[in-house]
Amino acid sequence: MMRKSSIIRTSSEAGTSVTYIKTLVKTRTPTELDQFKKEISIDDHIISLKKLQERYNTDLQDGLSRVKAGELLRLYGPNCLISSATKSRWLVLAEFLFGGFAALLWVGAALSTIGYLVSYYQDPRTPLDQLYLAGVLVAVILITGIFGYYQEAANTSIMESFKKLVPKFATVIREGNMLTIPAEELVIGDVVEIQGGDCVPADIRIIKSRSLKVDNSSITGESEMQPRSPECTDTNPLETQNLAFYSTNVIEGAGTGVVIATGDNTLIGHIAGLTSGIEPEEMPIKKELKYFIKLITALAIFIGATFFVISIALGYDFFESFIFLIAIIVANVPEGLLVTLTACLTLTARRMSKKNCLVKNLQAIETLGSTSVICSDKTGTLTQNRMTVSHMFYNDTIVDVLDESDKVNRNAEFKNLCRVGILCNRAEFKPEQEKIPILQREVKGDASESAVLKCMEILIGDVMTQRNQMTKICEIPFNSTNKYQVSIHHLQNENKHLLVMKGAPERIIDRCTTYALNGSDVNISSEKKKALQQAVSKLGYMGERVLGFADLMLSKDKFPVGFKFNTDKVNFPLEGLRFVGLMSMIDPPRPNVPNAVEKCRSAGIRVIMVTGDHPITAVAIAKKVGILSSESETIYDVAMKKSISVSKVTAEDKARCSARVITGADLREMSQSKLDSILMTFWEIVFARTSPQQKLKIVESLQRLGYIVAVTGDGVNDSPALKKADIGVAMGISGSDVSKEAADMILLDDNFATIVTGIEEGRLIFDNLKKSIFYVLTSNVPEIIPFILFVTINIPQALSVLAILLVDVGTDLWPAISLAYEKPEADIMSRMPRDPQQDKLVNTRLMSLAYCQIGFIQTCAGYVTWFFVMAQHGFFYDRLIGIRKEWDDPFTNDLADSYGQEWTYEERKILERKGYAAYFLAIVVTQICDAFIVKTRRLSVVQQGMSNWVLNTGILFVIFVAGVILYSPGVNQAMQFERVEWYTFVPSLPFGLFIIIYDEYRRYFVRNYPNGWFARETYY
Amino acid sequence: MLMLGTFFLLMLGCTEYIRENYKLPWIEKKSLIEEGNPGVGFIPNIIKTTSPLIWYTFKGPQAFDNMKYNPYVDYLNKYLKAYDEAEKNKHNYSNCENSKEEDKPCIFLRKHLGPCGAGEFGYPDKKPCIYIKINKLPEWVPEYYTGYDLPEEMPHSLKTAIKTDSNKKKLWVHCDGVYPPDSDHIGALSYYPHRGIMGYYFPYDGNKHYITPLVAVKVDNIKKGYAVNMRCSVWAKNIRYTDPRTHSAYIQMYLAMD
Repeated sequence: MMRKSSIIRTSSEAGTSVTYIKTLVKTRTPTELDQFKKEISIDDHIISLKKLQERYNTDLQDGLSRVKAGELLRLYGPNCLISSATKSRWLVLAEFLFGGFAALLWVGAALSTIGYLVSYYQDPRTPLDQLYLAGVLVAVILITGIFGYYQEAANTSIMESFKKLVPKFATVIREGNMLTIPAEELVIGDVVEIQGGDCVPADIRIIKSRSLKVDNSSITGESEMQPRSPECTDTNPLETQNLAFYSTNVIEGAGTGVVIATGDNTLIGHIAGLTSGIEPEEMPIKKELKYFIKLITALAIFIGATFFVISIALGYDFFESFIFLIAIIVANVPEGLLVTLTACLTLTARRMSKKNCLVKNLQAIETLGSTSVICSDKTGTLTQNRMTVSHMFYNDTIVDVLDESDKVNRNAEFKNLCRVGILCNRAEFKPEQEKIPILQREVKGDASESAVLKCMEILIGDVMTQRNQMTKICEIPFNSTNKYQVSIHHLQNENKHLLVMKGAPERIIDRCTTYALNGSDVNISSEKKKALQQAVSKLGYMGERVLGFADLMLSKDKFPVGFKFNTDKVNFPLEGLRFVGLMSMIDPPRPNVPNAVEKCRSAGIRVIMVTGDHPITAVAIAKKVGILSSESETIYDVAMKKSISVSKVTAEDKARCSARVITGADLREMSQSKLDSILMTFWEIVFARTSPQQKLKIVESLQRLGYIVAVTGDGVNDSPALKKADIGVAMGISGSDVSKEAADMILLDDNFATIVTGIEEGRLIFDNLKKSIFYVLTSNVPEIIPFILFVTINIPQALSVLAILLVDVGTDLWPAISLAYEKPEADIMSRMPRDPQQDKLVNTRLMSLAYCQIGFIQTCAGYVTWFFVMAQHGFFYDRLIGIRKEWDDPFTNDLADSYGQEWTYEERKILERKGYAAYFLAIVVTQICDAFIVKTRRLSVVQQGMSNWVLNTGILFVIFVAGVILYSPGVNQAMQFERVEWYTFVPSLPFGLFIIIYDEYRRYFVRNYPNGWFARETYY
Repeated sequence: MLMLGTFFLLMLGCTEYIRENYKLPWIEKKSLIEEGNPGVGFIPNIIKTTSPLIWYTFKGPQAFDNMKYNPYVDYLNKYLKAYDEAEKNKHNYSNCENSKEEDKPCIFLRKHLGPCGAGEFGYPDKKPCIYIKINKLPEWVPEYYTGYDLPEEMPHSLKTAIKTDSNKKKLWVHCDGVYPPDSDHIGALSYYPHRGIMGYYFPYDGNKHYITPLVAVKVDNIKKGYAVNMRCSVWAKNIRYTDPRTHSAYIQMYLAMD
């Protein structure tokens, strides 16, 4: 058991030692969770510093007093993440052992024990058969339950992975002194210092910043560095620059901040609370099983009750009838089904893990198959998470260097642009990577510089040598106020200095007076400037990040070799430069993603993008991968066409758009019903700038609409949605630990296309499970009928309980499980996802086909074989009917058969066991034939072929096992069988053939008359 | 469904065919049972328990002579009717003491049973008759002892009986107490018509007129007030005694009266 709380005494240098209670586990009420689901709405970042100081009763210079901090700590508790009370491992195990199908089996076991006890009470010599049955049922439950429990990685470690995110220690200013204290002891109002390499120890408002940059990926999913400064730049707390959040990483710079929220109240606290507290949706297969259990229970009780009434009417006393009732109910329980289900899913899971799809929860496999909508994260899942230069602009032309790098026009302008790209760049390849393809090499430097470096290495090659040839004399690094970066290089062959500049394109264009065009430098007129700006926005609308490049050859006279360039007091020109071009970069989609999205579309699965990135980038990627089809229009397309900003798009134009782009800000103002209606009306939707809570909201909304939702994501921010989704899919390589813990499935290669494989497997297993269940259920009928006839027309038992068990958990198992290997009958990816309301795993059609048709034929086969053996020995059917009482009377030792031959009790029992053997043999034979027909639900077995070698071996195995059971001495005695003549199976053969032919005809009609009676009534 | 029906009819036809063409079961029961012995039974076996019991009293309301009719006597009367029938239809049988005719089984008459074939079968006199029979087992014929090949375990009295009997073609019957005290209590026994079943009744050939031969054992002098455990066994060379549970070589019962 987890401890609920512990008492901790501060031992730090925080001074006055304080004892506080640390809650470790907390049961969160739904209202608390709802609170977490709301967006954080605070104004701590808007109010003035003075007000902030008053609000938190602190001093921005000297921090809190130690006494005050101690009080606050005791009052509000420590600054740490608290697990939601999760189900204990025992409870999870109990669920496996007693939930769903296992419950049905328990009822069966209990009933058969009661049945045994009742009949034991009546006659202490009752055979132990019923107890064997109970024993086997319990064994099945235990084995599959414990197996399932181990298969399912318990979700208890979600919180642990969150806790890895948060820092252990924090630097805090109290009473004017700088102290290092455990981060847990931080309280609201504390003034903390942070610097590059640290982890933000609580939600803080920045009050001082020295080029502070943080990585907010755990909140937004975008791993781009974001500057942090004391100014409030946005009312949205997620967007503003003056807030830094608990657990985010400080990349560079340093700063000071005031703690405005601790522990559970922080943003990450909300996410963690949500993730660990959300109850995931019930797996569809669980629902299917529930439905199936309902069906089979209803059927069992119906048959049982009917025969209870009949047996009372036939004059049996109440106890006897009750025993019959129990026996019939128990006989309806498919003992082997649970094993079959678990084995089928496990086999598929293994097959999927070979295809880079690691399944944490067996039942999730099928969920993937019924998925009707995928909410995909963008970065890292759809894209490569690697900035790459995709377009260059020079000499008035935009060139695609990503897809058509061989068509690049290598003119003088191109070379100029490249020279700047090579020189004005601080990124470097890490050493010893010569053998790795350029795009995959690791680079020291920020994302866009690396992109340029790689692009240059590809287009020009040998970047480092060229840089060395043109030595860097000095440089001004990039900063957020200038938005440019300048360096000056010495050109050896011309003995001149070259100034190169790179930065935000607007700023660069402003600083240029000339433009390299067609071999000469032309002046930039105001029209030219507009044209250049248009090129910038054109690239911008492609969702790309644009950089401008400029250079200036410094004159030999003014700046001779050895000139002392001063970057503090700039003594060289930074204006009047020559504009050489633009480069734009994007995180390109993975190569096989468009294909996969297309497959999803044809499989009727909606793909919705939910990203923390900017809408324009999101739209661009969505278009590239096909989430937005090429003909659909978004407001961004309209804006680009009309060259206006998005906010100026008219309502009329908006209404004409066929696809919607919804930003976090839009979502914030949207009511639940509005979101629902948008999700219903628009097929193609992109959500951008979404917060973790909003992702959750989208998933919940889709689930409300009846969709089965798969969510893919890699970041901490995705984890609540991953947990809530019907199936959460995390990324194996780039994914955070938290997301992997919250997910049901992990893509080992991070590739969206792998999901499609998973969906295919999931759909296949759903189809194949139907077949397995059909197979297992069919043999139930020949197992129940002997009992019914035993009671109603008083013929001797034709099948023992032991033999029933042998079929159910013996000979039926392998073929049933091997159906998991059956290949799909048609392209399962070209049909719609199944409708959970209509297309059930087990429906009445399946039951009626299995029970009333194939099962009935099997029963006939069984009885014909049985009568055959009985007749061989002298008992013809007319003698057998009504003979039960004398037959089972141990003191009748001279029972005459049809020939007058007299039988003692023991002799009759030997014959009875021969009968069991014959009936068993008939079931085995007809079940083998059944295996031929369940291979397909629609196709003919001729079309499907017999290439499922697991099934084929299974059939041979069944024959072998039946042979061993019936003919090896000792074994047959133990199983209550007697040897029968080898040709005993012959009478069952015509029935077996009949099953095959009958079902071939049935499927012929199903195939050729899809709306006909056969398809309506028998297609399961 | 039509096809299923056809199958069923076909199967019915087959069984009828088998029934018509095989006078005896296709597969002999002998192959089923390890010893290949026919089962032994006794009459009147009314109170069926693991150890059958013949018990009646002369005291109290249940007393033998108080009852309008006695269940044992009643049962026996009914049982032996078959032999009266046989007597009426003598033309179906051959008198095998002389010679056996084709297709006519040997007759067994009630009068062969001597005192056990008439009246109230000795029950009111506390000298009840018990009838030993063996199950009909097609094609089974006892292998007769010649008198020089008697097995060690054979009871001494039977050995003497066999040796002295002129017709050794019998399936011998021997009754005695199971334990020495039982033997003491049981007193003298007499067998009718012979101390065994005459060999000419074998084998059972499936003829519908075949009538089961009986050996009546009259318990002449049983000690009153005891439950006496009696065992009756049948003896032939091809009867083995390995498995007592198959009721094939002997039968045990309790006799009690006061």
